[in-house]
Amino acid sequence: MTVRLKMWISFFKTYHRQWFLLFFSLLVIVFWQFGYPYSLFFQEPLQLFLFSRDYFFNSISTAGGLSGYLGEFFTQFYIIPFGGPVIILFWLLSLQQLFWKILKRSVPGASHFYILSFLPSIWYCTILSEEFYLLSGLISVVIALTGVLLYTAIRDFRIRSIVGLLIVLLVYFTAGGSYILFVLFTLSFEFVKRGSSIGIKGWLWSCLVLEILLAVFLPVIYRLHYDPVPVLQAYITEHFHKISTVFPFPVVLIWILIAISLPIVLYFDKKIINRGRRNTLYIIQVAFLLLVFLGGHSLFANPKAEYIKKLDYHVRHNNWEEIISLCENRLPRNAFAVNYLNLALAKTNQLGERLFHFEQIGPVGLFLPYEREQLSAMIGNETYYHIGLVNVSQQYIFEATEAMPDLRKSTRSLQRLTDVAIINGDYELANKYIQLLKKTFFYKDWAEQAEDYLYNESKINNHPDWGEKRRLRPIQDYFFSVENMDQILLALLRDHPDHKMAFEYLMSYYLVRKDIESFMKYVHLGHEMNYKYLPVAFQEAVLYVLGLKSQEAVEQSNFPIEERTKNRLYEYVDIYTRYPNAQKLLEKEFSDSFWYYYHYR
Amino acid sequence: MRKLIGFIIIMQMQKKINVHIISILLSGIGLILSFGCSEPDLSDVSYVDQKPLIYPDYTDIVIPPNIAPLNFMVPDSIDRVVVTMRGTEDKMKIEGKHKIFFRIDRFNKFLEAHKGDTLWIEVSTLNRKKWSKYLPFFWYVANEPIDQWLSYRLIEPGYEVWNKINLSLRNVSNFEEKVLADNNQLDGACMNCHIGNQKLPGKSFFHLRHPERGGTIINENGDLRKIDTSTEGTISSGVYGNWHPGGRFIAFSTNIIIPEFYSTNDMRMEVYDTTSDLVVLDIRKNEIFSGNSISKPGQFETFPEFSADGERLFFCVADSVVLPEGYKSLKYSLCSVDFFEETRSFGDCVDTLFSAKKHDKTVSEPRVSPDGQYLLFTVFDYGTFPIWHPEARLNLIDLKNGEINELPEINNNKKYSNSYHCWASNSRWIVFASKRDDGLYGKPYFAYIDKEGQGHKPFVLPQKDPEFYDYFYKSFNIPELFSIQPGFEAEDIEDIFSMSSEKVTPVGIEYNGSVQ
Repeated sequence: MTVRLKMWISFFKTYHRQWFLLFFSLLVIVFWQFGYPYSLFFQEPLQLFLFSRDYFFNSISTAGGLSGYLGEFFTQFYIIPFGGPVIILFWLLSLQQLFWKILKRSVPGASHFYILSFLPSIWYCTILSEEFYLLSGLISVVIALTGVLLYTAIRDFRIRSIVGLLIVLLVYFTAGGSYILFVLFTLSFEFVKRGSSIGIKGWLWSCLVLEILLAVFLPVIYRLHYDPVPVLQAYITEHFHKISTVFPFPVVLIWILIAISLPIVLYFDKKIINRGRRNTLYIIQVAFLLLVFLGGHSLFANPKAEYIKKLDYHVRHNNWEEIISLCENRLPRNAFAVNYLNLALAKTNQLGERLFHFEQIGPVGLFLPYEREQLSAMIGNETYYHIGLVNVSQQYIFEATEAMPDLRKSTRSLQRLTDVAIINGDYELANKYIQLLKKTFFYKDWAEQAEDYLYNESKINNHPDWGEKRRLRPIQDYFFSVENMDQILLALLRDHPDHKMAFEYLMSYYLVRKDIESFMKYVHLGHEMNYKYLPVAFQEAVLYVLGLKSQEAVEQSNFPIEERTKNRLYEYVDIYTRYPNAQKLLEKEFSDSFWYYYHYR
Repeated sequence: MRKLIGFIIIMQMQKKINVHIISILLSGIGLILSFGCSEPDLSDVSYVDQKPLIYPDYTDIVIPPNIAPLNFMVPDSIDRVVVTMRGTEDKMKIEGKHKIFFRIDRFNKFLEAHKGDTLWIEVSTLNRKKWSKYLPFFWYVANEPIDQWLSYRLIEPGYEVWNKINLSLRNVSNFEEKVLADNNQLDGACMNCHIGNQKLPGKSFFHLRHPERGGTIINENGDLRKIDTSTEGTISSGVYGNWHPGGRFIAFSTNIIIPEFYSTNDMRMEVYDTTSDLVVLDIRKNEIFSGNSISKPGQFETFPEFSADGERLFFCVADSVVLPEGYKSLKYSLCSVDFFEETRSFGDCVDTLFSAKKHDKTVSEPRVSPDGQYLLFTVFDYGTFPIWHPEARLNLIDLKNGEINELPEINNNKKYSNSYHCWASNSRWIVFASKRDDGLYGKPYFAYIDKEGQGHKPFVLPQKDPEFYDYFYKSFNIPELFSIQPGFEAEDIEDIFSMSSEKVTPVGIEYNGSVQ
C-alpha cells in the first residue's frame, strides 16, 4: 500500500462522519434536483399556506397541527428551483443528527453505528417521493426525536419519567402521531438503560404504565372532547399522508425502527464489535442503507408520474414548445400526457399538422372525461380553459378541489377559479379568491395584479389571456357533456366561426375516432380559418375519402391540398395495395400519417 | 405585553378557543397601542350626507330582540371607527380600528330593553386624521323573538363532488356553533335536508346518503331512528320532505334527479327530475302510502308541505316534458289537496294556488307559516331547482285570499337566488339562503314578516368577526330554524350510522319504472 493511499485512508477515517454527511447530502440533492424535481413543483401549488394569524392558530389548534403548519410553510418554498431539495435535505439531516445524538447517548458502543443513523433519513427520503406523503410527517418525526433527546438528557429517572409524561402531551399536540415514536422509544430506552441490574419497578414502572395509558387514551379523550375526528385520525393524525384514512405504514416502520434500534445496536455491539469485526459491521451497514434506498425508491418513486408532472409544469408555465420537444424525445402514451401534448400542438398551431406524428389514443387524448378524482379533473381543465370553455374549466377545477385527497384548497385551483371569475365578470367572486391568495407569500403579487383588473372591463379585454378567453367564450346556452364534444365544439364554432383551435380540435376529434363521415361534413368550416393549405392531417383525411372515389377526384379536388401530400398518398396506396406485409413497409415512412392511423392503429 | 400574548397562545393550545377571541384581543391591544385611552376628538368633524358603507349591510333593518350582536366593519382603510347606538332608554358607544365588536351581554340587554323600539346607529370614522360622521341608520327591535337555533348544512358549492360536509347548529343569540353530523365521522356520507316540525319542535329528520349505511334519520326528542325509505314500489327513497304537524307522517317526494352543466356563465347547473311522485311515510307503522292525486302519470309532483292544521298537502306539480331538450318549458305550479289523516288518504280535487301557465314561471319549496296564514315559496323562470337561478325570488301567498306578495323588500338583490326558506315558530321571522353577495356562496338571511304579511329588508346571520364571510368558503345550505335544540349530538349520529336501517312497507303503491 502506498504512502499516499494510506494517507487517504487515514484522512477518510479521521473525517468519515463528515464524508458520510457530504455523501448523504449529495445523494439527497441529486435525488430530488435531478431525479424528481417536478414532483416537488407539482406538490407546491396543491396546498394553500396563508400568512395570517387565524391560519396559524387554526392550524396549531389541532393534534399535530404545528408539524402540519411547518410542513406547509416549508413546502411553499418548493416553488423555487433547488428550494425543495435543500429543504428536504435540511429536515433529513435534522432527523439523522437527532437520531445519532440519541443513539450515542443511549448506547455506549454506538460510535460504530454512525452509518446506521442515516437509515431513517434515507427511508424517509424515498417515502417523500410518493406525492401523498407529506413533509409535515418528517417534521413530526423530528419533533418527536427532539422530545426523545430532551428525555434522554435527564439523568434523574424520577424527573425523567414525569417529564416524559409531559412530553407525550406536548408531542401529541405539536407533532401528532409521532408521539407513538416517543412512547415506544422511552420504553425501549428504559428497558435498555435499566437492564436487569436494577430492574423496572416502583416509581419508574408506575410512570411507564401511566405513559402507556396516556398514549392509549389521549387520542380517545381528544376525539371525544376536543375534535371529533375518526379513530385512526385521532391516533395517527392527518399530517403524514394526504389521505387521512390511509394508515401510513412506511412512517410507522420508522417509529418502530428507531425504537428498537437500541436493543439492536446493543446486540450487535456485543456480538460483532467485541469480536473485532468492525469492518464487517461497516460493510453491513452500508449495504443495508443501499438496499433500503433502492427498495424505497422502487416502492415509492414513480418515474412515469414524474414525466407527466414535468409536462404539467410546462403547461402551467405555457412552455408549449418545451412540451412538444419532451414528447418528441419520449413518446407519450398515457392519456394525461397525450392530452397535454395535443394542447401544446394546438397552442402552437400544429395540431392539424402533427396530430399523427405522435401516438393518438382516441378522444380521451384530446378531452379528458371527469372521473370524480383530483388528477383527471385538474389536468383536464387545462384544455377546456385554453379552448375557451371556461365554465367547463371552472367545473373541472372546482371538482378537482373537492376531490383533493387532503380535503383542502390549493393555490392552483384558486388561481384558475379567479381566472374564470374575472373572464366571466363575476368580480365579487374573483375578489373572494384574490383576498385569500393575497395572504400567500408567492402568489400575493399575482393576486394584487389580478385585483387591479376587477371591474375594469377594457383592461380585462386587453389582457393577453383573460381578454382572449372572453372573446372565445360560448355565447349560446347549452348543456355540456364530454360524450358529445363534437356538438360542443360545433356550437363553439357557430359562436366563433374563426376559432381555429376549436376547428382543429373538432377535426382531430373526428379523425382520432376515425369518423370520416363527420369529418367530411364539417371540414368546410376550415374556410373561415384562412389556411393556405389545410393542415396535413386534414389533407390526408380528405385525400383518403377522395381517393376511395377515383384518382380524378383527388386531382380535381377544390380543397387546399399540397401536391406533396397527393404524391404521398399515391405512394402509400401503391404499397398498401401491392404488398401483403404493407404495414411493415409503410411504418417507416407513413406511421405519422392519418392513413396509417386509420388502417393500423 | 409579551406575557399577555404568551397567555393567549397557551390558551389557544390548551383549548380550542375561538380564534376570533384572539383577534378581538389583539385588535384591542393594537388599538390601545395606537391611541392610548384617549377619547376621539369629534369637535372637528365633517358631516357626510349618506349612510355609512358597512359590511355586513345592517342598515335600516328590523331585528329580533334575541339576535346575536350585529358586529360590522367599515372599509379597512379607515383608521378608527366610533359607533353610538341610541335608544329611548339608553345609549351605547363602541370603538374599533375598522371593526365594531359589541359585547354579547350588553348587546342582548340593550335589545331586550328596547323591544318594539327603534335604535339609531351613528357611525363616525377617522381617515387621514379627519373625522367624518355619517347619517344614522336604524335597527327596529321587533317584539317577537326569532327561534334560537339555526341548523344548516355547510358544504362547498360545487357540482357533483364534495369532500367536507356537516350539519351544524348555531345559537343565533350568540356565536356558539356545534356540529350535529359530520361526514368525516360517517365514512364520507352525504347528508341533507335537516327539517324540523314547527308544531312539535323536538322532532326533525334528515337524510344520510351512503351506499350501504344510508337512511333517513328521524329524531324524536333525541331518540334516533334510521329508516330506509326506498321500496320497490317507489321511484327512489325520500328526497324533499316535510312533517305533518301531528308528527306521525312525513310527506316526501321521490325523484330521479339529473344534474346538467351549463356552458355559459350565467348559471352553473340545472338540476331537474326525469320523474317524480309524492309519498307519505307513516313513522308509527313504517309504511309508505300515496294517492292518485299526488302521483299522477304524466306529471311530476315534488316539494310536499302540509298545512298548519295538517288537513291539506301543498306541493309543486308540472306536466312532463321531453328532457333535457324541453328543460326550459318545465314549469311547476303550486297546488294543494285534502289530506285525511284517519284514513291516510287524499282528496280527488286538486286546487291550484299559483299557475305556472298563467304566470309563465315555475315554483318550488312551499313552506307554510306555523300560524297557517301564509305560504312562502320560490318563483323562478323554469325547472325545479332554484339555487343556481339568479332570478329566483321568494313570494308569499296569503292563504285566506290567495293574494300573492312578491316581497320586494326581501328580494332587494338584483340577481342571485333566494331559496331554501323556513319560518320561525311564531310566524314573524323567516330565514332563507341567498347567494346575493357573490353569486356562489349561499348565506342565511333573516327577514321580518309583519302581521300584514309585508316583508322587511333581510340581514345576514351575524358572526363574531364581521370579516368572517370574506374568508369563509362554504355555503350555508337549507337553513332551518328550531325553537329548541335538536336532542342529538354528532356522536349519536355516528352510532346510528353504524346500525342497520328500519325497512318500510309500501301500501297500495305501484311504480312502473317509466322515466320521462
